Amino acid sequence: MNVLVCVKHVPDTETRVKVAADGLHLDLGEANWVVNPYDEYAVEQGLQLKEKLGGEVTVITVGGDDATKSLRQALAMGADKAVLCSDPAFEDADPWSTARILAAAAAKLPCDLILSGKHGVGGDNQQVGSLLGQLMGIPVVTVVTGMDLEGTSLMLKREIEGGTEVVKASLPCVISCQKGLNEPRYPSLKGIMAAKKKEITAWKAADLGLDPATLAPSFQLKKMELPPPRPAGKILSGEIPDQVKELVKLLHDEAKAI
Amino acid sequence: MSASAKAEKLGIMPQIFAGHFDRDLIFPYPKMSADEAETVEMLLDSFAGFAKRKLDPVKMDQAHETPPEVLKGLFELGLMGLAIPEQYGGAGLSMTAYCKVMEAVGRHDASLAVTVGGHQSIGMKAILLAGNEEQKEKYLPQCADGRRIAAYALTEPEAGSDAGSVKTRAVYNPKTKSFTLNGSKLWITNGAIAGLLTVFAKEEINGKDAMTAFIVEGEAPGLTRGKPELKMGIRASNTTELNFENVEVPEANVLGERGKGFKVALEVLDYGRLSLGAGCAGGIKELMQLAIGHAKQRRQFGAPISDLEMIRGKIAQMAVAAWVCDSMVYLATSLVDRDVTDFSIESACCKAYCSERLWDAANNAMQIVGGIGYMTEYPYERLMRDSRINMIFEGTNEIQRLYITLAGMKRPGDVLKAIQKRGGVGALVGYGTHTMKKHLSANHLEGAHPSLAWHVERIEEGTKAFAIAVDKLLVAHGKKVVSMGFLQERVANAAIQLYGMIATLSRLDTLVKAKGPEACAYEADLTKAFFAKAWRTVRDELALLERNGDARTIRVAERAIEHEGFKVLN
Ligand SMILES: Cc1cc2nc3c(=O)[nH]c(=O)nc-3n(C[C@H](O)[C@H](O)[C@H](O)COP(=O)(O)OP(=O)(O)OC[C@H]3O[C@@H](n4cnc5c(N)ncnc54)[C@H](O)[C@@H]3O)c2cc1C
Ligand SMILES: Cc1cc2nc3c(=O)[nH]c(=O)nc-3n(C[C@H](O)[C@H](O)[C@H](O)COP(=O)(O)OP(=O)(O)OC[C@H]3O[C@@H](n4cnc5c(N)ncnc54)[C@H](O)[C@@H]3O)c2cc1C
Repeated sequence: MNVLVCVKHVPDTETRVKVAADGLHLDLGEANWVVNPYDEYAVEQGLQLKEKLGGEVTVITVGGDDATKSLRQALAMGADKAVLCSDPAFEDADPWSTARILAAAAAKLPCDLILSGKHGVGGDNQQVGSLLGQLMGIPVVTVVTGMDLEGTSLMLKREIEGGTEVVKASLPCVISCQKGLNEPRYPSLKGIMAAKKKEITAWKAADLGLDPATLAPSFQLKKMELPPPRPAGKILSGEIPDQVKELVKLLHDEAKAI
Repeated sequence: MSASAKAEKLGIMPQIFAGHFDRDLIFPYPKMSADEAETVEMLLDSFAGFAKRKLDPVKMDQAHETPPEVLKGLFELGLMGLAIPEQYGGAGLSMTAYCKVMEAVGRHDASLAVTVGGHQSIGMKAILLAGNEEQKEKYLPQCADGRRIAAYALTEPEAGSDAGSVKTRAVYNPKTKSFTLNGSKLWITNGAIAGLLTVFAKEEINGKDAMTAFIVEGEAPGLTRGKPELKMGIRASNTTELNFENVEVPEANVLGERGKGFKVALEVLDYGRLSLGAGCAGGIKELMQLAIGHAKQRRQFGAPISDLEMIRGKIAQMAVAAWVCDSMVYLATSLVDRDVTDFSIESACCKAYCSERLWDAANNAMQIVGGIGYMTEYPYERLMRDSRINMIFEGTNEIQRLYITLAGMKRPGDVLKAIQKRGGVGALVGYGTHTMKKHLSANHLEGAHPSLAWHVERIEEGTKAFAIAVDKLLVAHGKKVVSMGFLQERVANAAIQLYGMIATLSRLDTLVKAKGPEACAYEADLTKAFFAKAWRTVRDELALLERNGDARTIRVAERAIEHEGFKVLN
């Protein structure tokens, strides 16, 4: 089975972010960039399928040159091939444009199954996988925590509010992966060295037959802000009975908690 | 001196003993290739992920054991074959890259670093250095993939620091073309879990006892292992006694030349001490982070204790130590990577200095956090326990100092001997004073950034005084220096400081040249903070060679030894 895995290069969730001066971008100067953690489940799932059934795992990303780091990571885990979709026209791609780019690329690649993370941390749009399936006209199953192959279909487990749902989907399809699906492996030193010898294919808009003019964002980002800083705590003083009275008053009038 | 057949190339320090600067080795400060740096970064990410999920240093400390699945995980990650060439199933990392990894491992858990280091820094190193092709092909792949964990077995009950005096016997039997080993080894890291032992034993060659190195397989009949020792620290690392009772070792398992085993033993440790130093540097950084984290949130007297000068002083001390240790270690590892054959003095400097700074850092961290540091619920006491061993094993720090001085003085000593032969005492005196002084005054360390002229001057003046002192000592004492411990300690202390000055200057210089002096203000402060004490230490240690209270110290000790304790008048 040939599996295509979509990965995104994202800032580590431990990064402390600041909003840049323009109010529209994040200042990620010192961020450590990593493979989107949910995409690691997708890569692992692809590798397990390959190990069972043969075929190849191709990882693909839409991003700048720095995103090769995430592709390398996936290659080091054991993916066979990597594709970097990079073009100045892709720079401010919204989920819709990203899905279109991926769909165009997927059309050029052998794939029986497309895997992605359930969402990309940072952007948190949760759209790309679904839009991709829509564009390709194939089934989409989201937030999957279990997967079994039955003939040419997949039995998929989804965690839903208060329970589990089991879904059957025919191949090819798009699956978005959730924590619990598997335990992603760590690239071994051997894998890391081997990854250096694997080639990363770079595709531009023209390679994918995409007209840059049609990739303009479909919505506009207006503003980004951090949650307001927590005000300093208050420490009451005085006699205990007075403190209790004061506390009740503050909880009622200021915090409006009671 | 290398067992491998490389052309001899001296490191930085042997030349410092003669007052020379090897500029090409000092500038620029070396760097890993981008490719290797990426490999290391990715591997360390993997290791961090593995550590987060699978490693519990507290549990391992309490259990006095490293769980087998952790060892298995290390092999799977490829962490156990870092230095093994790719053709034998390893990763073929450079010494610098290897030590970067060992630093990270040491930072995460010192026990683990000892287990990993026991395996590849020393356990299998002799095969890499002195093994023949068949031995490499047979054993290295097994060491890389986990079939065999390696151990280095030199120490014996009666041969500790004096490792040359091992009593384990090897007797050759021409009929079976094999050796029979008898004896016992003490405190062998990985002793109980090793499938491959590098064993050093004595045999009679041409009527004389000489040491030979052997590869002994773990399954060899007659080899028995003691119970794991219960230790103060690095508890999860395995330390046992090994007993050899008529253990048969095929001739094919002799490592290097028969009778040349001691050289192999020492050369292995030259490498081991560098990774030990790197692990110590990692430990210092960990302690710093923990202690600072606490100090920022612990409030006393209405403010975080990190605001207090007496706390800041300790934090600064740790930061300077981390800077100096790092600089020393990775300058030394680069010597290996640049095919320097004699880096043993630098390696000894790193071992002694880094292990002592780690101990200071453990002490500082404990003091910064106060009472909680003493509680076993927190990591500080464990880190302190784990730190202590580094000043003892792989050659105690006293032995490092003895070695630095004697190995360093050997070349100037040879020069003096040659002159003595030619011109007698008169020539000697001339050599020891005027000629040498004149000669030395022409030696400059050129090529540093102009903003670092002060640092260069301190190094030049220190090195000059140092080399002159070395010559004077040789003229005055000759061979007797071998038994003069105070002298050895002082010369070595000065040498260690000089090496630290050279290493930090080199690193700062390279940074300044790349980024400009303003951008490197913090690194300049770290360097200056070190220099401010170091150059005085050099001066003071050299002065003490001439005027000291040694006679009194010896009297004080002698009386105590005589009475086996403290005894004074009532
Ligand atoms: C946890 C642990 C793991 C170990 N792992 C290994 C291993 O894997 N393989 C192995 O072969 N060995 C191993 N060792 C042994 C270790 O290398 C020795 O403990 C070390 O070399 C010191 O020897 P010793 O303990 O016998 O001390 P001694 O030699 O008895 O020294 C006692 C004191 O005398 C000082 N001293 C001795 N000679 C001199 C001198 N000439 N000048 C000045 N001072 C001197 C020493 O510095 C020390 O302070 C291990 C030890 C420990 C504790
Ligand atoms: C085994 C043990 C037994 C104990 N037994 C008792 C007992 O029987 N009774 C009892 O009452 N207490 C007891 N204690 C508590 C002990 O006295 C405190 O741990 C000690 O006073 C330090 O306080 P702390 O641990 O909170 O450290 P902190 O006060 O948090 O100090 C942390 C660090 O900040 C430094 N620091 C704090 N203020 C300043 C300052 N102004 N200037 C410079 N440096 C500063 C400290 O020197 C220390 O290095 C015990 C503690 C231990 C560990």
